[in-house]
Amino acid sequence: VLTLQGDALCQADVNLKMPRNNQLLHFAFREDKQWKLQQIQDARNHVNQAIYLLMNRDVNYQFKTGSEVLKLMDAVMLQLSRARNRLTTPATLTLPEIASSGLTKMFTPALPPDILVNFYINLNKLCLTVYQLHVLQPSTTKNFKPAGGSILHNPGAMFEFGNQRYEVSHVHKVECVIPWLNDALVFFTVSLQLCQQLKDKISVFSSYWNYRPY
Amino acid sequence: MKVSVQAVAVWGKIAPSHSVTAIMITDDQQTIVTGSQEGQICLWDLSSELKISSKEILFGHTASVTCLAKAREFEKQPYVVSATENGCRSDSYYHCSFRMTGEGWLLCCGEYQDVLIIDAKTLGVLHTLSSSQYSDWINCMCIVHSVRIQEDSLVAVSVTGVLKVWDLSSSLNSIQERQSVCEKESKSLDCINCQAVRFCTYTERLLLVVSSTCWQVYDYCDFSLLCTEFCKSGQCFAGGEVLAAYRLIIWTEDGHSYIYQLLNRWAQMGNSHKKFSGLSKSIYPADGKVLKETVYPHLLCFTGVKENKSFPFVMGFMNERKEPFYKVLFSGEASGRITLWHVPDVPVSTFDGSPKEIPITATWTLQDNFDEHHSMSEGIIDHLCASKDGIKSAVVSSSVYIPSLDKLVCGCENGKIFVTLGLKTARARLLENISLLKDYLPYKVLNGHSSRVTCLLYPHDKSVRFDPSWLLSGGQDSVVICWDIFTGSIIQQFGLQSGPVTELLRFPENYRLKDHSIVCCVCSDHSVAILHLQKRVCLLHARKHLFPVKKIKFDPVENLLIVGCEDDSVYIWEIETGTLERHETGEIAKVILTSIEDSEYLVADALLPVSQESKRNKNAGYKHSSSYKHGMVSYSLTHTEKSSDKLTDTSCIQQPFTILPVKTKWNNANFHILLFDVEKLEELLLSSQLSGLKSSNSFHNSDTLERVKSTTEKRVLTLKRNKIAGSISPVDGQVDTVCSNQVCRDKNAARPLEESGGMKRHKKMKSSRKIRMQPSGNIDVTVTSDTAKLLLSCLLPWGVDKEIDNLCVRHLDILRLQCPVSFGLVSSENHLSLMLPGWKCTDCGVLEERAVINLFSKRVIDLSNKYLAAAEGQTGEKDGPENNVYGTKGLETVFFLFSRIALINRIINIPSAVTGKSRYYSMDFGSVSLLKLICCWSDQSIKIIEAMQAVLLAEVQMAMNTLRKTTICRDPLAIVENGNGKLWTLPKTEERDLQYIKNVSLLFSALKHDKSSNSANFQDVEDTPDRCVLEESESPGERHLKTITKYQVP
Repeated sequence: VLTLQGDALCQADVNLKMPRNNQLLHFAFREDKQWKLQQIQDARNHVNQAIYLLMNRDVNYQFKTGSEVLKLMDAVMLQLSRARNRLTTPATLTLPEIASSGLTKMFTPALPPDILVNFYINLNKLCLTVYQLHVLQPSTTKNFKPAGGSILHNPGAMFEFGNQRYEVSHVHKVECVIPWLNDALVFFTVSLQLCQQLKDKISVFSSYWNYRPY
Repeated sequence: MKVSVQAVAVWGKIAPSHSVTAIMITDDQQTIVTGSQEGQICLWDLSSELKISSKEILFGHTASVTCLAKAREFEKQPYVVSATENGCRSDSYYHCSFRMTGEGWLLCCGEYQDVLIIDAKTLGVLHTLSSSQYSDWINCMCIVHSVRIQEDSLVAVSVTGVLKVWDLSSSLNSIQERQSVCEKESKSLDCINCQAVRFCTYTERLLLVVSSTCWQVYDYCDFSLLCTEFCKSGQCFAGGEVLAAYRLIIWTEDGHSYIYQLLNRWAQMGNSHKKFSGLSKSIYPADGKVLKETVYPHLLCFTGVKENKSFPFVMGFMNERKEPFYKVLFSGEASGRITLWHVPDVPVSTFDGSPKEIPITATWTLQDNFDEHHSMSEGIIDHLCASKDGIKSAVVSSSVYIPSLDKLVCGCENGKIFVTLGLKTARARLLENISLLKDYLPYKVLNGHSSRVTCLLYPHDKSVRFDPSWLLSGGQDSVVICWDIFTGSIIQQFGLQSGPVTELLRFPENYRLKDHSIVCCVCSDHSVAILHLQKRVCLLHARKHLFPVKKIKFDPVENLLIVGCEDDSVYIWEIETGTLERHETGEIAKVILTSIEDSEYLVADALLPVSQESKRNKNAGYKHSSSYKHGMVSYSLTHTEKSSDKLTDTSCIQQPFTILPVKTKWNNANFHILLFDVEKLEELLLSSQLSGLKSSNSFHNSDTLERVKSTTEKRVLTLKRNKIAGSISPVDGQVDTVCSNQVCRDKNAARPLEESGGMKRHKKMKSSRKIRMQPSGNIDVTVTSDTAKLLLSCLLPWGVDKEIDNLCVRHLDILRLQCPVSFGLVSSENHLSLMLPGWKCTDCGVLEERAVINLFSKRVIDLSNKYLAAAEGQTGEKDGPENNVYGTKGLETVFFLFSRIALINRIINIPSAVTGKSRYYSMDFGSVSLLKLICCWSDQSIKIIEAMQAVLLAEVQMAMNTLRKTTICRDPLAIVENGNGKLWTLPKTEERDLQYIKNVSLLFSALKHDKSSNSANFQDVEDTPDRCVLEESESPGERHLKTITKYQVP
């Protein structure tokens, strides 16, 4: 059970059934902590900047040249498309990065050392991935190859963290659709299209800007 | 190879647009650095009278520059770090701003959480300053260095208005040990959109926080609010700085600034406020409420701009208390104007208490410079248009250079297209006294477009299947015309009726259908048209795209056209039927695009981003001249530009002379860069000389023997050199055959190709090169020697010595320059810096009255004197043959001078190569001491240009001396030389330079991979004078001293 409030995950309640020993694990967020979803926060900041770009002039301000509007639209579209991209493309993290992130310390009771969790947004879905690890013995004949960054790591990915080598044994992924994220994405697309239409309309006249009689 | 490329810029009448987005003044108040939205960085000279003139422009970034900061302690290394936003990858962090701490770190904040610590030298991310709660983007920050607390801390304000403080001094260790560093304090302020935060170092008490709607002063001890001032409606505060104790300067986004005095009520009532401000915290009430009543702002002075400004301003303030420096408020605006205000040390209001206006001290734009030096900023074909009287010269709106034909095609604003010969045009533009050349310069005017010519394409350049006579042009009138370049007639005209044509692209090679003569054109209504040139039909006009087209790809198997748009959506068109097959967005679109990229049918030019995309759109035409020159088709294919957004193009220039058209984004100003490949040119000269000698053997008497011997000897040397340097191109090893091969080609190229299938002929020639070598020699000689002469006359400092000038003009046939030229520098990563018109004004003001043009700096003369002195000691035995050489044949001398230039270029650019083969060079170069001198120069950060000019001047002087048969007493000098022994300084140099090269490449690769900080380091290595590298400054100091004194003896 997860509760998402704005850009923060304020409650989480994870039940995990270990296939190994059929043992049921339960852990939840600590009461005093909440986890910021950086993607949503970034998207929000980008939108804020776009709004600021549009709002920071006088109410009765008159645009004087077309290029001025084009430049403004360019800046706004840049922010909007970045905001959208933040939601559509989750960060590719390496396993040590996940292991060292603050998320592991957020739970009570504390996560067992052989479990990693990661939250991210993919389009309109909030995703939770749980990695089950097992420690690689230093003497193993398996050749150790640390895995690179990825959104979702596959079982068998190896990494080194805190002088210990681990291998991912199981991956569990849970997704849930967040309706308002869906709306947000639609609005991003619509607003980008509107901006582009405005740009197109203005640039029709562009041939007259630097018109000089010869 | 590419390091040997010399660039000369031929500017147009209109300056490239430069919308200033970041501005800073270096600590010595001599240079202003601006970053622009276009991605270029401009260096401006600031004189002691606060006069501004532009100096250089650096091309490196492809995205807008967001921030500039010094990267080192200025006195030691005047490096500048610039940061850009880079929106190409969504998974990257976009922009950063840099501040400097004492440890050689850069602290960056931007569109990511918290603060990054970056190594100032390698630009690698060292660590992050993380926050334990409310982590968010950081809007602004400043370093608080307090003498009283004896601690450096970082104060930052996040986008949500949370103020955070990190201890820097105490967390030094944990940063080095890579432990996480959390903030010391965190407090939510009641302000959003914070623009700047500043600490008052005078009182060590006040903290100024400027947000867009108001500015506030806080007590640094407990962060309690002291006073707030809101801005006028319609204005937004953009930043502020502390002028002095209780005196603030705040500026707005529209270019106004206000100086406030924080009045202290206590001070007014009682004695001077000094008493209070000097006292420590204990005197003040701790709760700050009382203090709040004691401080209120009073407007003292203001500055403003007259004209309406719809563009946003970027402002900064430089507070210098040292005497020769000024307190300067500076601003740059989107139109490219820089404005300076000199703020008086003690700003006072007028007597009646109303605020006083501080007048503008200086203001300048790039265009001002271009207007002032209009002879320098004449476009490359302006003289052509001017010759046709009555018509004002047309502005070139697009151009393409065809290397195989040495033709420069320029499309103009008025719809005309000029076709001229590239080298001749350049000569006519740069040199004076060749009205002859100008008059007889053959050119054609193609009339067909009714309005501006927006793009040009010469398809034969890269793929043989196009007819060599075809030239395509697209115009604002939405018409694409296919011309016959030789006759100037219109072959076919396509009316697209969909807005201006923005881009013309060749279709990929492996299109397996029909006759392949197909081009693709992109129009400004985002439609893509496919034109079949032979059938003269428009195969497909894809009009459904909502967003600008970013990528065009092609699936030859299924005959599909894949169009990637700016919003990351993909449209798939069926070429046969002309129907839209699929429209995909998001992830699927990305997968489609990348999957095509992986397929083997991918062709480079299908990847070309549309001109709107690339900030500096390089027309593709000039690339791959190599296939003509060397017959190395495989080489050119492997080097097809994968990302043409960068300046990757110069890498594959195999021709000695190329014209590179450059287009800037916003205005249509277009300028050209002439690229000279010094190495190649030298090689060519050698071969031509040899063949020339062979053919004209009978005319020479006994001393030719000697000369032949010497030249062959040199040739052997170059051969050896080439074997080592030629690892890039396997054909290079056999200089002999290649050169002769080239000779044939040049002949071929010089003659206009009447019939089609020129490439086939090339191939035929290649097989029969041995036979054809001799007769074609002469043409090659003229072309290459003309190129060499052009470069030499660009390099020579005219007007320093009248006699030298005359000698050059009369004997060597090197013509005087019409005006100073703007040289450029191509770095190993193909980033480019160019001098701007007006660079010479500040540097050689003393010599101005002697009408000196083209002297790069006053230092050049000193250097050349040193060189002369060093050389004279050694050239005693060499003098004999040289004497004859100079006396008899101009071309020989040109070649000799040129080889020197090439050598210097090599020494300074690739010291490793020099040390490896220095014994060859030393024979070639006359003496080891000369070599040493040059190496020494490269240590002393003398610009290549300066060195080359100096050596050239000295050599010409020497030549003249021998001509005049003046005897110079050189005995004492020789003794000095011999007494000095063999101090081998090279390895050190090499090490240093190598390190530097590595460094630079590292930095630039950081840019490429857009990691956490997309930053390129514009270390103006060769560009910034007085560079002195840290590790050199201590130990080799004496060495420098030694060498300098050594050479200053005469």
